[in-house]
Amino acid sequence: MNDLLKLALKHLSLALSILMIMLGCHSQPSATLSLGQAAHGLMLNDGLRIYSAATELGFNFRLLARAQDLNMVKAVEILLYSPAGPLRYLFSLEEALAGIRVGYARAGRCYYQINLLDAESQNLYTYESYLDKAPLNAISPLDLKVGARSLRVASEGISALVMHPLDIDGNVSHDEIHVLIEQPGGNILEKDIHAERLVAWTYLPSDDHTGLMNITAYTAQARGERNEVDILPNVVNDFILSKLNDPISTSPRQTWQLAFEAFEDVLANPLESYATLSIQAQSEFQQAMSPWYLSLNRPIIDNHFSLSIPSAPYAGSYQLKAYAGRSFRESNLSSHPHIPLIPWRWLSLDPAMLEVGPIIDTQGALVDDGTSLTLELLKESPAFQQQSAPRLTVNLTLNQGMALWQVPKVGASYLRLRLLDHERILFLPSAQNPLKLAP
Amino acid sequence: MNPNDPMFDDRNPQDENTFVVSLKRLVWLLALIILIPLSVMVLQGISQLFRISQQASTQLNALNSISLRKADEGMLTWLPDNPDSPRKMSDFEREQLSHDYLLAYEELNYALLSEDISGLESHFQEGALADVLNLLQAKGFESRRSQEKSQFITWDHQLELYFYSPDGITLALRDSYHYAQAFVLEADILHMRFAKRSMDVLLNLNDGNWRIHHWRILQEESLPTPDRKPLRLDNIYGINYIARSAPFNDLWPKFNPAEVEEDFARIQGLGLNTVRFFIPFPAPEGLFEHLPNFLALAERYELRLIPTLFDTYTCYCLEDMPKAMAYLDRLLPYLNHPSVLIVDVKNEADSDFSYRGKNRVRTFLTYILRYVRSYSDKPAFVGLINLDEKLIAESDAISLHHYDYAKNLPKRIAEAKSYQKPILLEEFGFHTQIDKWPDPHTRRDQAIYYQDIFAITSTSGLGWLVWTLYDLPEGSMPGGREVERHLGILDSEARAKEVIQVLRGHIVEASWLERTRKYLWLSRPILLSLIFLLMLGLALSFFSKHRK
Repeated sequence: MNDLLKLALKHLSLALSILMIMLGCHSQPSATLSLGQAAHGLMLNDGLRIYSAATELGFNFRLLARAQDLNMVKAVEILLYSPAGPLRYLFSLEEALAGIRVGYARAGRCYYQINLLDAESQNLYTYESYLDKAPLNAISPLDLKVGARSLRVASEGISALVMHPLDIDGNVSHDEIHVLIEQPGGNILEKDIHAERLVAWTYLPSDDHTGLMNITAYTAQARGERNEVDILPNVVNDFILSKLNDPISTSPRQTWQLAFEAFEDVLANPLESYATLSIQAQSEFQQAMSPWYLSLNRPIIDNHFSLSIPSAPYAGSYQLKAYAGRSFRESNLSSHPHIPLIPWRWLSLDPAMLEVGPIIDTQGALVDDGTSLTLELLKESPAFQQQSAPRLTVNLTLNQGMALWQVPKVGASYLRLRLLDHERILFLPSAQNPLKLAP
Repeated sequence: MNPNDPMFDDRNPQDENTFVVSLKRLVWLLALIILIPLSVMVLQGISQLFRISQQASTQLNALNSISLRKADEGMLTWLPDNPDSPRKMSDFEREQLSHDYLLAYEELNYALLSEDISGLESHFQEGALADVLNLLQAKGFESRRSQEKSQFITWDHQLELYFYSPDGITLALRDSYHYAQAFVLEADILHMRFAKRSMDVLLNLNDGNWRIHHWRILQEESLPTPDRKPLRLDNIYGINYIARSAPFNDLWPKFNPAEVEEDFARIQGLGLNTVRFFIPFPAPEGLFEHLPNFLALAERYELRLIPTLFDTYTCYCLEDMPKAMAYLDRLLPYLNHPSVLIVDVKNEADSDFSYRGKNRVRTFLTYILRYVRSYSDKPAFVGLINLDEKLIAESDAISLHHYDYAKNLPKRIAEAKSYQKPILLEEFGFHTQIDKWPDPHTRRDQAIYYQDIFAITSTSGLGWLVWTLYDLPEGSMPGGREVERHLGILDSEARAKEVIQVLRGHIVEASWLERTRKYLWLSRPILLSLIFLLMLGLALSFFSKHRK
């Protein structure tokens, strides 16, 4: 009785499916395969067919069979060979007759294999074909990827907008994308692109003006957030170097005040920052005894850069060079002596007691406490023997511009005083050389 | 008087003995005093050495870092880049990309087999990751039901760079690769598809790793069954060649061109025209060095060749496909040599059915057969002990191996003829091991067997290859079977056995006794049983009389 009922149900299901197909209620078939073709030695007539279709929701399969063919089929197996690996679905014959939906979402071509298991022989009859699933329309939000986030004006475009607009299943859609590029100068560029080989892209052209370039992209049904690219000035082409105080004295407290400003690119766009200034300063003539050299690199901030250079230790003229981008500036820095003279006197002659000071700078102030005074006792006159080694060298520090020193007897005849950039030679008092106490 | 003369020695021997003993004791004491500290020092030195080596080993281990997992080389080649790509790719970037891309597929296959998804996010993202995870979830459901696994092996990736973004983090390429996707249940394969696939791939560089972002299949083509190539095998008379000095696997590593030339000359001299030889997989040392010479020698002696590939290989594993295809690709130019008659892709493949799975062997060899038949100029078949319908369907010819009674051969030939393809009796042979228990043969038995076989092949119009040229006293034999050493038509000194007369067309008259002699071994157990029964009867009668 049960068998009779099953048979009746099977035939009813078959009749219904045929009716549905005839009424056009089935999915539009993209491939129709006669079962007899691919099967190895399958003795079925072409009354047994498979309908397959790629739909938005996946792949639909339906088996259409005549009653006499159904007894042979026990189960229906569908294999999909996806980019990620094989997928396998197993269905009963009733399901296959009513229509099977396999939720496969990936766009592109997918090869499938349908196996029908023969109930009696347990043999598998195999059919192979493929379905092409097209991507759907792109959905919001669109993801605008901007390669380089900044560009320089008047430069070749090296930034690009890259997009892969996705449909609801995560497939890259073929929808046309309308791209709007609003440049800082006010120009609005429009371009239509679409994904090719899974990627839609376009160069982002630079502008002659600095500022933000706004990029908007949308399709007929999807939009994304606006993206931006900074259009930056090009490299420095011009700038101004100003000396705020020159010359200065050689006092350690003194600095040359320099100002670098009005950095501009070739299109006279001011460079607010993004550039580096290299500065070199050195003695005009390399002095063997007292060379001076300065080298530094500093970033430009707010199109301005101030620099304080401590005074060179010796009075003279110094060469200054400044580089930024393609631009170069040159100037001279000069300094004069800090102390006009070194006053001194002998407080006593035997023992010889020397008082140095008060030492007053060019502005009439006492030199700083702690300033070093160097005293050298010499056998020969340095006027004739420049290189003669001192018998004794002593460093004293000034206190309120003064220093006191008892000269030891070491057989020297001369005393050399060195203070900052000043030098003075004294005769030492002796029996043969009776000197007055003060100059 | 000689004071040294012991006759004149007036010392007391007792005293002398005491002195000697004392001296000995002293020497021993000194030796002990020196040796004990010395041995302690040596032991200490050894222990120090051991301690230092342990310390060094620990430090060395501590410095061991986990080396980067590297993809197999030779799996990927680059086609010329799209010249309109906004950015050129440096060699370093290309190498890094190639490496990451191949590792992605390795990780995918690992995840499919193991269902361990922890590594996937390092290689896939967005749509590609969704595909992989969806597949694993679906597969997981199925595998719980049926304990099956799936596999996805790719090889021969040919990449064409289409787009490389100016910022160097997005890349679109077209990949054309071969793949095998399969469902595996226990050892056997349920379903498998081999195909060449063309696919667009989008990759993103994140955290220093290239990840597959999206993919889309464009086209696939599986290897169709090629048309049958015209082939005549009825005029094949040849030998399965095993070198005497380097039998079986030793042929290529110990290749001796002088010996091969001498053998080829001898084979030609015997009136034979074909040589079947074996190429193991993986390719043995010396193969590609000596194969050209081997082919040239065959050409010189006008011998046709039947190379038998994948010898000794019994895994039929999908993961071996890349190496197997590389092996085939490298061999293809040699297979096209004019001396090559037909390619045998595997020797006695059906013997692996039982433990590797019938479907596995069939699907693996089906692909190999189609590949060889498609990409070489030569026909191909597979060596079989028992005919296999599926493998024969993929072959240009049918190979029969027959070591059974000659009388059973016609039935097998009739069965093979039903496939309507050229048939070659690729192997037959008869040993001459006289002490083989329980089946000893004489050389005359061998000659009679050959004569019987030739009578059948001649009436059936079959070509044949005998196993083998020489007896093989040296080297190891397959399965350690001693009988393999006695299958030659010449003995180990290259002296002709009686079978050579048969090859030369002389008829060996076999008496009924000779034809039944091989069954005489049965007489030995029967005789022994009779003797045993007789003895038992005598003993019983003796005991029964004694009791009375």
